[in-house]
Amino acid sequence: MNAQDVKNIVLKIITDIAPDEDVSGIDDNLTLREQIDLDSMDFLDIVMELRKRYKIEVPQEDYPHLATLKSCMDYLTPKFQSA
Amino acid sequence: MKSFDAVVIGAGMSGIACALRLKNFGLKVAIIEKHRVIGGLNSFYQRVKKNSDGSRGGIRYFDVGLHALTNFAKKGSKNKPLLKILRQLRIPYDELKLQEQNFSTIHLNNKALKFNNSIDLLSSEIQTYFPADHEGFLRLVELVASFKVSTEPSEYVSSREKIKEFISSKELQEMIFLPVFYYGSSWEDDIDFSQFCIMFQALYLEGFSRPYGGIRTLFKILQEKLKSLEVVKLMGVAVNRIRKIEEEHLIELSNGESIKAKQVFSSIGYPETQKILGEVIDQKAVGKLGFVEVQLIYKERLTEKLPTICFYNEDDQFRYKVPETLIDERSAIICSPEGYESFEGEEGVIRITYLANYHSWKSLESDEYEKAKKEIEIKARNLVQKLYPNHKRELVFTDTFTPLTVEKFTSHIGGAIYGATKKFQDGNIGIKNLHLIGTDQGYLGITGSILSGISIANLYGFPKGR
Ligand SMILES: Cc1cc2nc3c(=O)[nH]c(=O)nc-3n(C[C@H](O)[C@H](O)[C@H](O)COP(=O)(O)OP(=O)(O)OC[C@H]3O[C@@H](n4cnc5c(N)ncnc54)[C@H](O)[C@@H]3O)c2cc1C
Repeated sequence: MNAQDVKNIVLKIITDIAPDEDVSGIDDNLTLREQIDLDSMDFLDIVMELRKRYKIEVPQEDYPHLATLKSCMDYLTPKFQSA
Repeated sequence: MKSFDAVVIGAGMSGIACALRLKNFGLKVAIIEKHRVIGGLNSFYQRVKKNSDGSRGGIRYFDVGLHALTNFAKKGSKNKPLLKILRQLRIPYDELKLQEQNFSTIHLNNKALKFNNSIDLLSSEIQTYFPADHEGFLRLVELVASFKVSTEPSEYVSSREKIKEFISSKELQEMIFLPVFYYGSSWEDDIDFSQFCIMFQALYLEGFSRPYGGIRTLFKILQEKLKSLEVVKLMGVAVNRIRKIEEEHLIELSNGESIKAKQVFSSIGYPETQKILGEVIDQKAVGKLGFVEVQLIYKERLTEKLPTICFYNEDDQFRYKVPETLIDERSAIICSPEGYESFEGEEGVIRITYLANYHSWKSLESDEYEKAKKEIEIKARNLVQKLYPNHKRELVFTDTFTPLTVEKFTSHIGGAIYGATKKFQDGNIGIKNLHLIGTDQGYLGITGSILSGISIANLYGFPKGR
């Protein structure tokens, strides 16, 4: 599993949570929040789906790592690799 | 004994939303509802139609709540409460088949203002009828539009005082308050200013819509979700008592069984929850405002365009408080579900809602009660005639519910719909692992109660990562 796979996983989860959002043009380095309509409740759902689907745990203090796609990749890829 | 991670008491809007979220978090969830149908304050009932020859016709459905789903938002718009709750419950926007209102009106004395789902209409009405206050109104809109809901408990600010900074005409103040109080205040004759901002956004900036098919359309979606997510549903069973045993709750049911739960989410109201906890009920926490509603069913659908909702007040002062008599006939909400873009029924419907006094109704003998209902039906019909003089349709059926009906079917003490003025924003009423949701937790109305169930589930039901 590489960073690109992780990015696709995150994007898939976002489209499942927010089916009405267009995720095609998202910039990896800008925060997700400024590009699509996600709020803290939606981030909770991303964390929940990661746990349900992949048994990946994201403790609350690490939520800031989910801010951009780039930071998601950096933070989650090692977790996926060791899972 | 069956044991659950979470038990939700009450299958009204807040309870169902809460149960769905908890289930999403992977918890083992049960929802317990005293009645055989879901919905609580926002339910529906049915009556068999009688044909003119006395034989049985089809079935008539009546929505109990739902004059309007507030907080209308177009698909794909940003940062809208309605879209947030749909997303949280995984309901695709199109499934609700939302129909927008045509327009609504606010009547006070002999003045009337129109509004719809775009603030421009109300703004131009105010420019025409209250030109001196137009600039102030725009300032108010600007303030409300940028108002952010805070989760921190804030101090009560009287909206009656605050609005004077924007609007000088007493009449216009009353007119702005009419819909806001009716649809969102548990205070008498006033509302906290932060709550005012929330309601102003919900009613005037976002506006009204209705699912095609009425509340049943939403329920069908929610029922299917409860089923597919395998939430355990106990219908026709009431919670009689909750006891604390060590870290868990023991829940005693009306069918003689008991179940255990790690967490309880109660949507039945604060005093009602105190009751099943075996505590002394805080009488101050019992809501006061009750309503009577008359439903008039007509043979034909409308041919002219009536306002979707008319907020009516006879003279120049709106009294939003418990009347001393059965109802306060000086003010009413007149709702025409046919006044949405599209309406499914073959017959016409107009619903008239009045503020009512629970105790006056309670004191009536049963024949007096039936007689009082009939008298109010006549008042309601006269009001419709007065407001819409060209409206001539054959009436085929009428039905009326009172605060006693509400109490009977939702178990809200005193038939109070909006609960007490004291809200428990974090759902905490001082019992570990028991959380309050619904009307007494936070917001009112359909959107508000769903949001309440979701946010409290998110707060306490989400298992924090290690
Ligand atoms: C006439 C009328 C018109 C309305 N119009 C609108 C409108 O146009 N727009 C709008 O947004 N809102 C409207 N509302 C308000 C809206 O319906 C309510 O705010 C909302 O439905 C409240 O939901 P809730 O989940 O908080 O409470 P409830 O719906 O009261 O849910 C509580 C549930 O708990 C159950 N229960 C109680 N005690 C027990 C027990 N011991 N054990 C098990 N179950 C129990 C009850 O039966 C009930 O189903 C209207 C209400 C009424 C009555």
